[in-house]
Amino acid sequence: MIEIINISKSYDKYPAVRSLNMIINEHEVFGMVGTNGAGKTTLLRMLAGVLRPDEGQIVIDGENVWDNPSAKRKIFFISDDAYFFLNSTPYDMMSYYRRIYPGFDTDRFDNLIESFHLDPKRRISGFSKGMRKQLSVILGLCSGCKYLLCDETFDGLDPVMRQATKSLFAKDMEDRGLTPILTSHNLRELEDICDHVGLLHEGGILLSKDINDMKLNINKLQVVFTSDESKAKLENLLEVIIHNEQGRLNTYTVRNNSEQVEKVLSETDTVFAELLPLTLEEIFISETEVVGYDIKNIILA
Amino acid sequence: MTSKTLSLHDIKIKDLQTEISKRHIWINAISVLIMVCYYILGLILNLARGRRLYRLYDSPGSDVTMRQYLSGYTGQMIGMNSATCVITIVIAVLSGFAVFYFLYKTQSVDFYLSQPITRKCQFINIYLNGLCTFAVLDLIFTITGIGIAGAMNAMTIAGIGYVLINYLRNVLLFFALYNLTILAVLVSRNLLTAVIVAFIFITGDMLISTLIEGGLKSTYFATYYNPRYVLGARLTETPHILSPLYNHFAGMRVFSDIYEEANPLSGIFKFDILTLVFSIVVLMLAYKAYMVRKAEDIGTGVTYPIIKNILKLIVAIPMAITAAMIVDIALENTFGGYSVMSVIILIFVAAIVCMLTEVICAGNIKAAFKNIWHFLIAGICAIAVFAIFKSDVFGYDSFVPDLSKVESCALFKEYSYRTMYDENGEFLNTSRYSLMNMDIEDKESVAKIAELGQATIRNNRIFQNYVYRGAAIPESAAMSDTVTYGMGGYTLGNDAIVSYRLKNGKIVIRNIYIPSDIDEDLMNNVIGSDGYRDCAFGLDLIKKRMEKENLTGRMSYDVGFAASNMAFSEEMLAEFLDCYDKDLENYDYSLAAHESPVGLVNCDNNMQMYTNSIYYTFAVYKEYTNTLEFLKKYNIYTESNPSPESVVKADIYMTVCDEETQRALYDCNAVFSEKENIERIVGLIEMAPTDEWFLSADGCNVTLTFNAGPQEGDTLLNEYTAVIYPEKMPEDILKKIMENVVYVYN
Repeated sequence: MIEIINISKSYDKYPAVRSLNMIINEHEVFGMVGTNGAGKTTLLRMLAGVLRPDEGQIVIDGENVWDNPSAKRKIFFISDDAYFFLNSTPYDMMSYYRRIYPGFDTDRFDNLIESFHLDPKRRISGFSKGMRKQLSVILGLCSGCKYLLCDETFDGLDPVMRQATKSLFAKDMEDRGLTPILTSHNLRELEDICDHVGLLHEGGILLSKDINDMKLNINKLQVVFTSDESKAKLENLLEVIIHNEQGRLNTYTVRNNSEQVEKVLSETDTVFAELLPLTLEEIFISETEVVGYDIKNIILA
Repeated sequence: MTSKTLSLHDIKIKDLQTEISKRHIWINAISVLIMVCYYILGLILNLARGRRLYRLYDSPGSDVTMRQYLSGYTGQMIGMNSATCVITIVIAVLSGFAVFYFLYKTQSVDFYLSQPITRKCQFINIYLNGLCTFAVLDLIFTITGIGIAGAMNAMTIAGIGYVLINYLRNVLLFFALYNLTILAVLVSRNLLTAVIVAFIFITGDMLISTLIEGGLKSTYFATYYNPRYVLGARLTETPHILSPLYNHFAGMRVFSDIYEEANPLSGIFKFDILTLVFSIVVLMLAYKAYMVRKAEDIGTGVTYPIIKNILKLIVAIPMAITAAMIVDIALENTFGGYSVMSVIILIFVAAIVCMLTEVICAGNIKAAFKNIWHFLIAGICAIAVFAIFKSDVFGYDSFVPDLSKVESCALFKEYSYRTMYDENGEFLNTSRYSLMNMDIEDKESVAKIAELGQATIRNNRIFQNYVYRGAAIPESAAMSDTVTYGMGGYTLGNDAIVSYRLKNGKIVIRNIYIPSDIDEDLMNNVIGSDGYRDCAFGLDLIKKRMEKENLTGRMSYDVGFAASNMAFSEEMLAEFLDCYDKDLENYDYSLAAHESPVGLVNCDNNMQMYTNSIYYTFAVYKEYTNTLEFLKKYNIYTESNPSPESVVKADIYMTVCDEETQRALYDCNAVFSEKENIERIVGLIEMAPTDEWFLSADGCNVTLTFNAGPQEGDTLLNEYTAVIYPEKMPEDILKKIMENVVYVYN
């Protein structure tokens, strides 16, 4: 388990992460989403022990991660733009990581390199961005780490490789209890793979929930009311996050579960009412809109 | 887990070092390439050249002689004063930048710092990799060099020792520069800044001390005297706390200076120990800098603003002062008042440097005017330092030490017609010998002369005494090594050096100018003292040399137009020295400044100048009766004036000077061939002055042309130029000369 305890981090005068508390449980895929500049990469770099929090601490399985090889051995960090030695080949990188991570599985590396059709003797500088991402994932999986930190790792992969990577993650989760922690702007990807999602905005966490719970607790409904009184009644009974009105059609995003919404709808006079499923992307937009990260503001601006 | 593992996890040091070495393979490749070129190819070529030269120019000798000769070439290449330090500097700086360069890229920072290695272990392993790689490579090539030199018969046992010590000094130099470069890298946020900071760290102290010693002191202190070239490195080189580079080169200079001594290495320890201590401190700072450095310290400038501000001042102040000094020199205003231009340039440069520092650190041209108040600090500091030197705020030029703290003192001129050799027959620099050995008891007189001499220089009065007095005025030997006619005399005083050896071991040295109108009694107290004479004439040195060496050769007595010579034995030389020693009782400033000698006694080793020369010259004055008696006793005495019968004509060339300003007005000339006139002229001529204290007088030169035929002794010349003083000349002769003006001065 990774405990993020009240951490803050600033770059010069600019705060990147502010008093953030979060727990990442083992054996689940943790997705980290957030607005641009929300602090996702900063948080991952702190998790990896690269950055030192100005305040607070990050505890991995009971050990503070900062400058602690014992804790860091459980982590493998795949940065957005992974580093490879100058003129190195996949084998060179494997050779290096094998010395650094005692649990590195060289046989598996050979198998995966072959499976992903990567030439182990070819210079990495000649690889495409996607191939480098594949190599990073392979190295990370073979390192034997417990927590695999992937910063935008899926963004460069083609659909087949994404699917293959997801399968590998699933296998490692099952075989050895891997906990992938992913950041991505592609929320559909995360929605497919993640068990738990943390939503960051301006250095703080807006929510951190199991993805199913998140979907259960936030709903979208379209309603045409018979009267203003019934409209007022519904708005009083539900926790409305966002409300749009086009003619007589009202669209609500509410922080209530579907049972509560259905109950309220049954008690309200409506001409038309429909409960719509909410995607992670919509949840993201809804939640950030609440805190002022509103697409309309950006367009208007 | 093996014993050689890092704490908390089982990464083997060997594995880590292997991987780090792979990352910096290009540095190792460059190092090997340079070392192969230098230690192997360069050494072989140099030794081959030495062997060829030995066979060409040296007489055939034994193998040992050949080995000794070639070992010099080995020493040049890989010995104590070799250029191996240049290789070390290049590799140290390159390695320093290479090993921690990864900190300047987010990608590599994420890669390295996310790995399960403590920062401490990471630093130690990366650091040691660079240091050990150099140490091992340099050792391999040093031993290879020794092997090559040995195989080519160019290595002695002592030489091996020096080569190995040079290796250790190179490792120390590497250690120091590597640490400084790493510290620069760790406090910088990008490579450009790191290069600038490293340059300041490595050379800053040297450049600032050069500015002070070679620039400000020599430019603005009129009495400044740099004894480095006279006293040599051992006595003048002092370790610089902040400059390992300076200490290394100073150690080389000291070693070179005392190479012949029994334990030449003793003089360089203090430099190396200070370098070692300083380097360890730098290493600790570098370690601390690495431990506290944030991964996000990438981009522009340095990690802490205070470092930027300090570096800004360190660069801006010396550069501003240098610029002002250059303007002062260009305007020939070093001893004048403060010129507006100098001050403007000073402030301008201070401002520009401060702005540039901000721009470089911020990576943004708009940052030029950030922290504008720093200009003021830099400008004020630069003006203050500039003023300290220009106005001699601390009284350097007027400083005379408390005489109660003075052990001994010396007063001498830098040039002398005399040559000196030590007891082993090695040539001695007379200035060095005087600085080290002259012991004048009358310290008060020396101090009074020094005060006057310092004030003369400082108050610019030297130029009032320094006037051109015409082509015919003879100069003393001190001004031109040999007496010169036709060049003309200038000075009405004497440049001199005064030094005080203090009881605390320090030496205070000042350059002074003694005006011609100085109280002669005061000067006689000093120049006529035993302390001065013993040192300046060095007769004891000759006697000591005689104890070790059989000094025999030829002694000649030269009166300018003729010279007689004879073979001399040790006993004769001893007898001569006793006579001369007694006669030196007559030597004082009054004699030296106003009289010409009647002749010169030269002792040489049968004119074999290049093999164990014993060349000595002794000026003989008419008061030196014991010496003259000695010369007469051995029949080499010659009258100082030629026989009038042997002279065909006398050509007198005279400069007439303004009585008040002493500046040359015109030259006049007359030729006398009448027997009567020649007799009168020949009776008045004097030999050209030789003593370094001789004051440019109102004499004029007379050239005698001899007829053919033998003279008293062995005739040397057909013509002889001597001095004749107008006030001694008969009126008719003087009148005839003055009637014929040949040149008028502007």
